[in-house]
Amino acid sequence: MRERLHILCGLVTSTASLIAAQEIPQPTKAAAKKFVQRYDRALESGEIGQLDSLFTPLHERAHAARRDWLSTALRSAAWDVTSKIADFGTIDELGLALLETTFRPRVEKKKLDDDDAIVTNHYLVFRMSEDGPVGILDAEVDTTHLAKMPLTERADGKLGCRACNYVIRADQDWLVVPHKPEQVGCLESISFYSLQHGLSMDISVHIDRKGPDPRAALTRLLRGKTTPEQRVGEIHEWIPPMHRDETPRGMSGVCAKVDDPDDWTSALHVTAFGPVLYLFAVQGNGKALTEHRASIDEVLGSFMLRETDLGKVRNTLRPIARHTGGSLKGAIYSNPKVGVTFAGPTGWESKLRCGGHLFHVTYSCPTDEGKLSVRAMAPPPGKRRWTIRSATWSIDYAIHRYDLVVDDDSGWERNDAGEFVRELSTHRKSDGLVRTFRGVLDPEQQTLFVLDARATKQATPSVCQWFDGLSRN
Amino acid sequence: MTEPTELDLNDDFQPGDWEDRFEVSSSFVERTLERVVADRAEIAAEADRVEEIQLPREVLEALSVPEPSTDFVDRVASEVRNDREARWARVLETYAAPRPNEEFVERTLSALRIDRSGFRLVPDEQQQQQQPAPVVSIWRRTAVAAAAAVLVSLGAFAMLGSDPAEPPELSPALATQTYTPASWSTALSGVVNDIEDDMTFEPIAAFAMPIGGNR
Repeated sequence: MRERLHILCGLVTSTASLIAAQEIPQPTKAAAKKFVQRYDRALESGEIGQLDSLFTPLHERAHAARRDWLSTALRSAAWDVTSKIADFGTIDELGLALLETTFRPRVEKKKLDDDDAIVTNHYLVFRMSEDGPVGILDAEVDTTHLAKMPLTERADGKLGCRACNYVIRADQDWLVVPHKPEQVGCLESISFYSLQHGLSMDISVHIDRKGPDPRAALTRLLRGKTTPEQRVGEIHEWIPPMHRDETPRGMSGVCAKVDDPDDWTSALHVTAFGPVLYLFAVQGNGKALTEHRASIDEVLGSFMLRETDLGKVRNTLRPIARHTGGSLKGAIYSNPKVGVTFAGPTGWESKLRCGGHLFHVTYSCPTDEGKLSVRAMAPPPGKRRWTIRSATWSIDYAIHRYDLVVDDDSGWERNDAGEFVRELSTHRKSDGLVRTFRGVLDPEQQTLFVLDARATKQATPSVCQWFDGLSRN
Repeated sequence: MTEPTELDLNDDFQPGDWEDRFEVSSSFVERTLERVVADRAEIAAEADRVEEIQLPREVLEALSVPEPSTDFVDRVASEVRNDREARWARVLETYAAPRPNEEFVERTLSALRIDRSGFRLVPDEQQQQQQPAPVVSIWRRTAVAAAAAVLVSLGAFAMLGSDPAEPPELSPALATQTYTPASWSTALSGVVNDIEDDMTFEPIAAFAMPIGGNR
């Protein structure tokens, strides 16, 4: 009798579970379309609160950063918003949509040109509830790297970069989101967002010209970028697990924890191999980090250098060269990808730099304080090309931030080659250091070149001589 | 006539009760009206006579307004001020000031030519030259300064929100710069690139118009 009762209870429980499970539908592309329509309408309303009502964010800080950005946009103008689903997939109970969202300012047509539109690519992750889809993550993504990471065919989850010399693996519990270099300011940056817990890991690749010293880099990072409210832990030695048994010559690493007052923890791991720095920033609330440490360790444990011959990496500065497509031989810089070749001052020390630009080259005079730098910048994120307005803002903002006083500004003038050119003479308030700038916008408005010459007043004439001599071919 | 009692005004009262209680005859209205009409000429004549009467000087002097005492104005002003303060205090104890809306703050800051980052937006030279130097009285300038102080306070209130620890909001143009999808990565980029007095140039999308500016 008792056995029958148990069986009956089991049947009732199973049936109830099945009914409950059937009440909440699985995420489909049709559901994603409806959700995207609500997302667009929320943005068009101009009320950030309407957008908030669509989400229960799994990654609160990442969501807050994206929300702030959208809030800024909504305050600046009224927009017509249209999102297209470029890719769709499901992982367990989650729906993942890759969207292309176009913001078009709602103004009179005669005032509207193509340059006013902003196009962003982003992932929208949602789960189904009784009331319909609920968003858990909205993350902007650089789609140029996505060919290797399709949502629907994630075979082994392995990804990496030949130029940056690494491989890493993440299973399907993690959403891999590459970022635009110009947004992060380094060669490469990828975020891994857990789809199960509020954990994330940012990986980024940097070149530290001060030398292969991860401890010094992490110390500078903690000193400069933490607040007194944060509790900063001690710095410990740390080598990626895959290389602990046989650590390649030239590899070293450290890690430290930063605890925020609101139970948010960042575990920062910095590894150097030659001049290349790899940052692994694991973030989440303290409880989640403790409970799900194993899944973090699994991803960190999969990190591996492709090339362990330090000489090859150090001597060729391969990451910069491969990412930017240019090379520096003596004073001559050549970049077929951007379509430039120019010669800097002979006898000056020349360097390739990185910082999220198409390229960045600097020249330093060995005898005085004269310096020259040339950088090429891609259009701002979301823009198909530069506009005079955004080029002006980019230069003016840098000048404003460095507390420079503008002595002379030519404004943008078109030269014979069809380029827009703007020249600025400035000096620094604190010590009078003279800086001269030249902005050059190519006719197609795809690249903004910024030439920056700086020197003491005594050395200015010689620096400006070279500054004027720099020409593109 | 007897004053009506509460009992008279309750639901049990009937119109016929009037006659019993107040004993008004049915011809009362007609008789009163006839009397008023008959006396109309006499009343008018009496009114004319009253207008012609000159009041004696003693009577007029007795009715004249007395001279105010020396501290009358001060006392009244003090009373008025105290009364006004007391009334304001009562109102403010229970009054919740509405939060200025975004448009108001934008217009105010724009009018004052201050952007949200706190930077003063300096008019261009041409504009400065075209504007004649304003000639205003000291009172007007004081009033404008006071109004400006109030408006700036309101603007600052709107920007800072309820938490004074929050940093002031940046203008849209600058706010776009603060967005990073990977904050620690961006921070490390700043650290390793911040050498040799090199500047950092970042592409700024003309995503948002500057406060008070044109697109």
